[in-house]
Amino acid sequence: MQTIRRALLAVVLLLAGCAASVALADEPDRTLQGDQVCTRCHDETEAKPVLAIYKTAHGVKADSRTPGCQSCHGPSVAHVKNSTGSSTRPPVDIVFGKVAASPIALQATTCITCHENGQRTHWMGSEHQRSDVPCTSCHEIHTHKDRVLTTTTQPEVCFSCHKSQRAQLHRISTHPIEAGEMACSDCHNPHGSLGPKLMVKNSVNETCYTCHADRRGPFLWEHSPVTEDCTNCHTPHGSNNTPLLKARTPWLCQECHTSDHSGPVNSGANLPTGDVTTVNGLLPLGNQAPRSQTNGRNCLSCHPLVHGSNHPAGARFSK
Amino acid sequence: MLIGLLLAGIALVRPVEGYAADEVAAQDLAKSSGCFKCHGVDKKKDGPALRDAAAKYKGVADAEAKLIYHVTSGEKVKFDDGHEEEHKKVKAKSSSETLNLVKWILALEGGTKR
Repeated sequence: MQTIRRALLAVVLLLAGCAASVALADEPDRTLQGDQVCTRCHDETEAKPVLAIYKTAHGVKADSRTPGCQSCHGPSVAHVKNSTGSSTRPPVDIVFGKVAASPIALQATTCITCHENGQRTHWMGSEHQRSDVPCTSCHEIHTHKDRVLTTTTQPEVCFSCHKSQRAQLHRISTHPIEAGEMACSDCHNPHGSLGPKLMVKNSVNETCYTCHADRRGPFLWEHSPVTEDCTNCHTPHGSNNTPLLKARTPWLCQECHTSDHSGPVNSGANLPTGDVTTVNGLLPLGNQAPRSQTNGRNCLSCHPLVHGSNHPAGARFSK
Repeated sequence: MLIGLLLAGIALVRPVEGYAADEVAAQDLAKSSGCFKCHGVDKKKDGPALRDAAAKYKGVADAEAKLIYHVTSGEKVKFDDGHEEEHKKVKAKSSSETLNLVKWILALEGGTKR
């Protein structure tokens, strides 16, 4: 009985070995020797850098996960052999790029085959995937330093398409992107996310709180538009109203607070020390002039804690 | 004295036979045309090294004409494994660019086979 078991085990191992060797035979040679099929022509004289890929993570041959040329571009037999004898070789199986390239889905699948985890989990269905943006629109695979992976150079890559955001960044109040302190990917995940606008977190606020933790709360007195969405008041890419406000106060505040106290701009109507200036909700003409206590000031002078207050008497977000 | 100056001036203005090629322009054209995919300057690839081509044509009277034909006609070339392909045509905007490239190749010295 034991002999039969051993024989069966040997057969199973043999079959498994055969299957593994067949699978290996289908795999392209990812070693430097395998790459020579390509690099004997595409060497340091190429107009665009090719060999610099060996200075990148894709060139670390000691890592068994690292691909070879044909892992990404396909075996490309027609290109290598050029059986047509024409001076223009047929293209490789998978050409990356936007123009005269392989279908975008095929390009993306080639990359996602290895890079499907982590940041790319939500690639399928993301804005960039649905807009047919190929990976190589943003990433330079063969260059030593991929510009989009460096904080100081990444924004220019994004701005090549997102031009209005580039313009907003030239306003007086911005995030320190031009200073090289942060990059687009600090707030956005271009590979897709569960949040709106490709936010790295599940909501705008959650994303903002990763840096602006003091605004998170919890607060005894919450300001509801703050907890709802920071972009109710702020425009994150740039504004001429410090700090990144959509409009100047008091006008910004008065988009919601339209009742007596702050009704007309700078009126000071119904302030504690002011006159009761409305009668049945109407403003007498004589009370249109600004009151001294609000003239030249804004709401934040008296209500600086607009993000929320923990003071027992902080219901009005005052100091 | 005056005649001497005049002759010197003419010598400077007149185009000289075998002028030095614009090396940068020639290499740019070779790069954009894909010449270096098969021909290294010092290294044999699918095609001979450019220095070897220069050595081969050294002293040949119509070397320039032959090379210009070679790089512009798309004639068949034989590879080491026996198969034949059309030779790539250079992507020159004018014949003077092609001539500059050919002159640069022919001016290369010291073939690799020496």
